[in-house]
Amino acid sequence: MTDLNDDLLRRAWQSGTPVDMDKVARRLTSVNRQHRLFNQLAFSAGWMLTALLAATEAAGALPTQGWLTALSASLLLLAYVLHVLARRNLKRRYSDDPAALMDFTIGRLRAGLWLGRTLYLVLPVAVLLGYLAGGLIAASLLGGAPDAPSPILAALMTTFMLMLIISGLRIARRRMRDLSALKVAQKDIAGCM
Amino acid sequence: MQADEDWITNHGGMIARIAASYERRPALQEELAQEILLAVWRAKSTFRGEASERTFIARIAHNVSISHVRRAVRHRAGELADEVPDSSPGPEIQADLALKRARLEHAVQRLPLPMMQVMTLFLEGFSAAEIAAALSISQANAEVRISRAKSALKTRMEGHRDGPE
Repeated sequence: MTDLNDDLLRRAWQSGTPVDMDKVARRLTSVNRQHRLFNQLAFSAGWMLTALLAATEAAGALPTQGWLTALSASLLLLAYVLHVLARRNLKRRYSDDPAALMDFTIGRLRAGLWLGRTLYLVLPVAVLLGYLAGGLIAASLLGGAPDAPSPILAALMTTFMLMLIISGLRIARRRMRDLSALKVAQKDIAGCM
Repeated sequence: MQADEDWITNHGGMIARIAASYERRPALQEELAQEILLAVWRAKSTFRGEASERTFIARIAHNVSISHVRRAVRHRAGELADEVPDSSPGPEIQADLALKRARLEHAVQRLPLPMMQVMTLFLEGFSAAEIAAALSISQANAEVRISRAKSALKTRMEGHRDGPE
């Protein structure tokens, strides 16, 4: 009959680690890389939206005379500067210390999550919603004036950009859950900052 | 909570073993361990020292693992899995210890969930009070579960011992 001595059981149980935690920590780095890719996508989409907004305002589709573009661009630039500063600070503190790799990775994840998702996307989306509302108002006010720009065309382009952002969100979210896609993405974006 | 660079060193093994208790498939064990690591990081700011750091992490590990089990499809095979890992290719004594550990892990994995939860922490060296704190149950309940889990584990270990080698 088996003698369940508690100490022996505990010793046997704790004698091994079935999961390679170093490997898990390294995979967390690849997850962090996915967030960086997502941030880059969100950042690019934010600037494209701002450029589209600039073109729309320049065409006179909105009575805002460029201040919406200036606002969007300024906020995006501020977010980018803050993100770069946070990333540099974290890298300087942890990149040379292997024992702190996990904290460094999570720290970057934290900075990337907040700044990337919140600022890069929320700001352009907020400006976008304002633009859509303004575009609809402008369309109803300008009506069929011969030299009026086409708010419908601008709205279609904006819709396309919105679809691009949503697609990017879905792709990033799917990659977070797909192990094989994580490994492929790790090779594709190696060296990306 | 102690410096971040120490917590994975000190508690990584416990997290790995808890993950292995809930998930038998090695590839998904890693994924579960990663989920637990992320959950612990996100919860760090809420740690107020009411319990030990180890108890705090164990509680999170169990909660995440239960969520994982609810999402996953579990295949309860009756026989001992061929892929039971033996990562100690050294001397015979080490190989024997690894095999015993694998059998113990196998037996723990097949305990009913309430028993597996307490037995996992019991084997990690938690006291009944710490187990109760980690699982948010009363200490009396924890003690009863520990007693029943040890009986069930004994039965299963005897079944392995008496079976074909």
